[in-house]
Amino acid sequence: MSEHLEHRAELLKLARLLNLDVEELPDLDAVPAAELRAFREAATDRLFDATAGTLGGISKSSRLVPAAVSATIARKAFGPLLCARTAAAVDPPRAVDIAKRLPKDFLADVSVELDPRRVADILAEVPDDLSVPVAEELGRRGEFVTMGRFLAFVSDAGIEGAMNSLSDEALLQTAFVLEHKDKLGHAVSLLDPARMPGILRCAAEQDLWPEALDLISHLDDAERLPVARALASLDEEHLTSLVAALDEVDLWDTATDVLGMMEDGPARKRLVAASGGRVS
Amino acid sequence: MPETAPFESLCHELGAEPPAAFADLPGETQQRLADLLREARHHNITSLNEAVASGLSFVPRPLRGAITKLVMR
Repeated sequence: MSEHLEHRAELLKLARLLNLDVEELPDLDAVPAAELRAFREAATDRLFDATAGTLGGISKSSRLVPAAVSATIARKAFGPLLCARTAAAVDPPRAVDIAKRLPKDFLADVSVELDPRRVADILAEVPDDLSVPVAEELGRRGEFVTMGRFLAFVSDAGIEGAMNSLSDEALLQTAFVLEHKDKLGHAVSLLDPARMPGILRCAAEQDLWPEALDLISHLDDAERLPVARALASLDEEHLTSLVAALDEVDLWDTATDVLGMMEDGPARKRLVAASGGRVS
Repeated sequence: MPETAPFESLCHELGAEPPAAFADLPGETQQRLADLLREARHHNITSLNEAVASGLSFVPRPLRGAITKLVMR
């Protein structure tokens, strides 16, 4: 991934953590992406640890009341932020029992406030018939950063459910801010290859080539094959925007690999000609 | 009382020393980041305290004393 793209993704994630639009952050261009990430992780711990004492007591107290009562209190009184902060201290089977009694809208609200690292034990026990509707709801809301944080912690069925509910644009936006990019190839392998041409056209039409190229740069050869086939279907206008983006984000190396997999045709010829001798 | 330097303020709000590049940012940027962190933390604490107080009113009366003791200790 290029430093420029990684930096942009980190700014989006830091803004989400602080509940801001990215434009509201101060100028952080001088901070490398890796240091932005370290800062964000420290800030996450700080925000979550600020109220740890009180929250431990709440989690213990939830054992004293039936799950149905806990669910009612969670939804009507505590709200999503408090539920998210206390979840990590609740026994996983108990947390899942409570979650099953809550509506998916509320669980989606809680997901936005959760730190998945702290509730990995609970997420491992969440059944697909609970996680998929929540993932779909997050996808419907366009909660890209939230979804990107959860990928490494949910089942393949949850990932598929979420991807099926996402528009092409949302898929690109989510992939871009994914927390564990090493899982991206696996997620793409779960995607219906028939969607790939639409995703690439969306990249061209919505000015999302940097996001798409970042995604492609994280795929191995086998995972890039559907991309190579889909590229061959793009028209001249879409290819022109791709070439401009490749120049802008300097990802010709990735493009070279993909071009090597494309069958010879007008699209490949056009890209080879634009590559300035990088590809023959 | 002397005013806290922006970088010290940022360290305080983060609860740790930030990565090296943050030390070289303009003071105005460091202070803005510190303010944003403080606001986010304050918002969290306020929201959570309100939610705790509200939640206790939903606990069945026979259990309320024990739970209040657990939560507020």
